[in-house]
Amino acid sequence: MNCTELEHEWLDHDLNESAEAAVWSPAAERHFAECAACRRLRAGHALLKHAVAAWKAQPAPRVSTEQLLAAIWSDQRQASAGWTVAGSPDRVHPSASVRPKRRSAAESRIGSWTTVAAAVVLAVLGAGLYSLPERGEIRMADRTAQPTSLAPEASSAPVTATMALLWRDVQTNSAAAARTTVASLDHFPVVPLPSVAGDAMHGDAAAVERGNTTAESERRWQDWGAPLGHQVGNAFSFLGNALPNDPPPAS
Amino acid sequence: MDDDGALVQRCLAGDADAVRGFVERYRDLVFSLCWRMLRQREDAEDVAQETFVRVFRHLHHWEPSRPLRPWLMAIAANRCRTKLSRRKKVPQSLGEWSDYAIEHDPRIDLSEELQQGIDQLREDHRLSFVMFYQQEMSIQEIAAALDSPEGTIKTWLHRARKQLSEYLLQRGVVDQDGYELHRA
Repeated sequence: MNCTELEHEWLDHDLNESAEAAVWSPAAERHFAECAACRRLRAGHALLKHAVAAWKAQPAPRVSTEQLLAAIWSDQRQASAGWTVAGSPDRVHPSASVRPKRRSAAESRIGSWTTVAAAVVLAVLGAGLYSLPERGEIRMADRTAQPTSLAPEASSAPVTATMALLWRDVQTNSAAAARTTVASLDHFPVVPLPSVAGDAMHGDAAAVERGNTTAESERRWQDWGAPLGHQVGNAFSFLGNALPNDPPPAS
Repeated sequence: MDDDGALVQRCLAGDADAVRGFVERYRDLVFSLCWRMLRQREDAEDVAQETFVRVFRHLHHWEPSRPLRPWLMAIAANRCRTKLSRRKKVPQSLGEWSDYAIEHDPRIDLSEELQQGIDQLREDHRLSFVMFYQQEMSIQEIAAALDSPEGTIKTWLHRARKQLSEYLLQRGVVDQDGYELHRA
């Protein structure tokens, strides 16, 4: 038997409740006779057994039942939903209270520094955001510097998911790409933007078709359903506001 | 325990006496684990308190088909681990254990030496050692509580014992023949 093989036997020996009385195998005993390291460890284990007995017998402090119950009731009261115990507050001993968690001085120091650091970061971020105009505002400002005749007065904020999507595309793409996108809409019915916007704003999708579409637009807007018609109307209106009024490139 | 299920049912039904009974039944078990793991009375009280709050918050998740004690001890062990991990970020004093021991027994004794050795064990080894020797939990229960295979728990226990034996020998608590040295 070598040290590793002995260790396997040792593992079972450790867990045997009556290990004190247990006898090692003859092979293990022979190994102990030959190996000083394992013999030393065996002596250590024998002492450990006594140490564990003394350690278990060491009186440990107790925690108050009332303190634990107070914590439980307190949590129960704070919870908006969950289990409830009828009459629980009456059961709490008057002197029992949830002991607030103690923080060591070092923990408090770290907590304070963390709070200060977080506040500084937030302040810097806030100042940065405040000083930077929103990208959309820049574009809108650029647009308003140019004369506009077609674009109607419309809300500067997207009002539907579709518009939000379109607005994001306008923001994230170059002006040329946006113009190309708009130009690609030419196969759609040609609808004067003020009309579309006005009709859409007033919720009258049928008016879009009424006198505002060309002969090419045999597809009826109202067939798409009023909500979709409104969305498209709003989107066109919004694009009209957002884009420069340069004519789309000839394709 | 067979009546754990009934006790839990009564707790869930809103029986305050059952809640008290539950706490009294498991108070010492939970607190002693916290105390052995954390060594500071206030920390141990905090963690025991957290443990019971969580136990009652999630009591309806406990499956009556499974033993209650490992489930309870798993929560306590996790709370201890969390506390210890927070401590690692903050330098700690040696703790109150030695103060407490000296207060009750001025002699530097074997159990204090052992406790100091236990403090140096790896967290998993320490948990399994305390659960096995102090809480007298079975290997199966410890495996369930620590969510590890039984073989792993056996190995952890063996390594813990080996490390503690070495520690006691190095500390000169025992001589080569296995006799405890008398220390003043």
